Amino acid sequence: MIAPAAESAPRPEVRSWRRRLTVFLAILGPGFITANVDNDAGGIATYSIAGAHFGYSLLWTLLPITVALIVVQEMSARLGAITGKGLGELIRENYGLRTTFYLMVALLVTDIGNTVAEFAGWAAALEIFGIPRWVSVPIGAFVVWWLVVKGNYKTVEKVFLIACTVYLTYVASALFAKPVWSDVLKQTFEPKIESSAAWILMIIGIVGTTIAPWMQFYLQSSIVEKRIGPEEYRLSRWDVIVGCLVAAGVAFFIVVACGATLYPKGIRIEGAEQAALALVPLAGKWAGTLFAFGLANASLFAASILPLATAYSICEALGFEAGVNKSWAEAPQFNTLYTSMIVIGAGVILIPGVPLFPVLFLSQVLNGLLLPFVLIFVVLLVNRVDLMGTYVNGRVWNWIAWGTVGVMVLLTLVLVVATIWPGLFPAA
Amino acid sequence: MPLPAPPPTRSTAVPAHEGFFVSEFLGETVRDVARQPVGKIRDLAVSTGVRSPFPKITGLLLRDRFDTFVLPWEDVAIFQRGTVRTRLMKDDLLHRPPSEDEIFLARHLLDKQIVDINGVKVVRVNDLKLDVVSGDLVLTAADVGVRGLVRRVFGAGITPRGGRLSDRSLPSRLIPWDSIQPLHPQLDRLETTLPQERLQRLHPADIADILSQVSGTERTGIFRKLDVETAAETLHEMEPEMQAEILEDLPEEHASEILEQMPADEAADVLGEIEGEHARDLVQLMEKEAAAEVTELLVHDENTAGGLMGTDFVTFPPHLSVRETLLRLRPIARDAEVLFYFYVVDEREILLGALSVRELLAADDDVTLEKVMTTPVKSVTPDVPADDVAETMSKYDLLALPVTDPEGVLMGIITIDDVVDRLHDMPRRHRRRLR
Repeated sequence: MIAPAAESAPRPEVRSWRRRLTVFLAILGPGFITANVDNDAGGIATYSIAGAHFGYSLLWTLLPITVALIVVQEMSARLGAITGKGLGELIRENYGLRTTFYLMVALLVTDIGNTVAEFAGWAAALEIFGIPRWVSVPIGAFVVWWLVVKGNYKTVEKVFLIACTVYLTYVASALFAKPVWSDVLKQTFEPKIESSAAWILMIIGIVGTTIAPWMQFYLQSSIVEKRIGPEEYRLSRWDVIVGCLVAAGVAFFIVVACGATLYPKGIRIEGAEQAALALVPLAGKWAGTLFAFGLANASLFAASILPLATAYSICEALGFEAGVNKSWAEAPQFNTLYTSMIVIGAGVILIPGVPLFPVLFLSQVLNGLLLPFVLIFVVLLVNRVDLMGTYVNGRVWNWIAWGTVGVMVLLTLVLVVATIWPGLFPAA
Repeated sequence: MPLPAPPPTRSTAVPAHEGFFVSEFLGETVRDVARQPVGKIRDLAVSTGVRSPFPKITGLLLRDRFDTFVLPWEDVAIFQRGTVRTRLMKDDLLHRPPSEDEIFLARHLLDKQIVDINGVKVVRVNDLKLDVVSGDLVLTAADVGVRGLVRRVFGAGITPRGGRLSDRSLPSRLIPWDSIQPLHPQLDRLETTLPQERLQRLHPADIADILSQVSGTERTGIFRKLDVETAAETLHEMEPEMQAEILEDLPEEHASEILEQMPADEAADVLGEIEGEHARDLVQLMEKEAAAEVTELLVHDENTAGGLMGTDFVTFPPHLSVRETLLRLRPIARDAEVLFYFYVVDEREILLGALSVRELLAADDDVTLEKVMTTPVKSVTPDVPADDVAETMSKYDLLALPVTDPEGVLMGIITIDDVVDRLHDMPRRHRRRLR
């Protein structure tokens, strides 16, 4: 109800501040969730390895990476808020069906690989707690399926926001690891550059895991879904910024947890679950348990979002009926896509003796190959006056955007090359 | 600005058969009489000034290495799959730049959203079907099926030449032009002999459903085209947030007109969602009486009986005869939103009793209302919580419940549709569901 004319606010500044906070909390979600899902199984593994193998020396890279993440996410959010359309739809309307079709095929293949990786993370984390994968994976897949089929946007978003808070376990793990904080801070703000190939590859790995193609699609669709328009956009931008900062904070604590414990002992790891196990004797049972719990949460969280975001993006772009509350007959393509992604993602993990490495390898490479196209489309679209009006990038922002995109693309391509031909970087 | 229709001197060789698809011609090389390439087809133009039931192709947008120009349809001699020829030599062709009066099929329709009026759905155009109607090439349908999608992506190459077998197995969905409402603002300028506002034919609930599926600008665009009455009914079917969004985007005069048209309680709910100052401006623009009713309702919390109630109710004095009541009721019934019961009040407006229309019809002509009315009547005060109102109405099977102040003065009524959401514990309004 509006306040009647006679009853004007006695303390306008207080009221408007409160009102703004309320509105912000209502808008909070898309940016926050997207940035946090980014710390998925693969992300946690990468940060763990960075901490274990390089101590705190890579912490400073998180600062520029966070800026890059904010720049890229902000543009997607802005596109969604101003045009009211998803990224797939916009690409189709402006660059044609054929381009969109191949882009969507690439997105599908990439995201199937990513989903497999998430279920692998989930299985590995629960094995630490003594739950075998043939129990944990079907349960995980069912929870993912059930959450989406039974939920609507508001409840699902709440569950996701709660899942975001579980990332705080990494702060606890880092505290249990008793790092020397003066050392941590010093290395965070004093960039140190090494020239070894392993070091360069590690940086590229961190960059590659930070921005994934599906995030741009997912973020933009959620903004549209939440009906955030030009008026709400200013606040929505803070949702994006806060989300990216929190996600970067989590990455920071993962690196610190591993850097304080595994690095001095020279322990080499290949995955997040090994980090969790290695933490137990060094930082106590709790540090390891919380670390594993965080991994389980992050993996399942990402496994819920990936199939859904992918199925939505594809259906939206190709003009198929989409919606979780639609029956198989009403939305056959959507349901087939969504369900088969979960079934494949969970199924691959259950095949006895399946080599996971090639799958993760492939999804990493595809992510890298797809990303340049997605980012370039985002920057091109965000600069279209006919779509964005006065909301196009300003000149300075545009330089930052193209610069960021250029660096991201370059680093990701190097990662792809290095993944395919490891011999090029001998020390890796 | 209407252009004169091209003279009917048609002799373009267009084979009359199952029709063409726009995608089959995009990128096709156009050659002149001497088979010299003139340019590649970028798009097909339709003039806005030409009146016909179906949009008539008036030119081809060509691109050669140096520029982009329109080849008028009169200069096209042969138009077939794989062969498009001009009537003249390349150098004799007029290079006309695309004009403001032209709409381009690929640019303004292909890959865009349209409303399928019969299916009541927002769909995306995969391809466009062209047919030959009395010598002219016209746009007859939009292909929104998988077959069109495959044709666009893989081209005609996937189908064996002439046979076109393989794509027959895919589901085809064509929407005829007369049941399409395009959403691109450019298409509004198209003059056709078919009614432009096809959306108006739909039930307001269906229009609301469609509006919830499109983006903000398109939503406002569609809404602007509806007449005030349909607009008010459509708004009534939407969830409050979106109602507010739409009204905020409309010019204030238009918005206040729609508000006047809505039942006062509904209008008050919408205004409650609009930011304070703007809402006040809208109320001020409304017609006095309607504005007063709405303002009165605005002071109540929306989760109480006062927030739910409407002021659209009918009262009669107790001593009136049934015959007289019936006479007076008839004109009122024409305008009433819903008329389940009417109420008997004394001169101080204090609620004495209620009577259903059925009871009135069943009663003898000469008795007075106080003899046949039901009394006492179940009623609530404005501060009663909405959920309790719903419970009361459900328990006593009431279609309407009067709201009175503590002295018993009748203030408004709550009808069953005001509380039906609370009874079912599920959203009635149209909301896009999520991911």
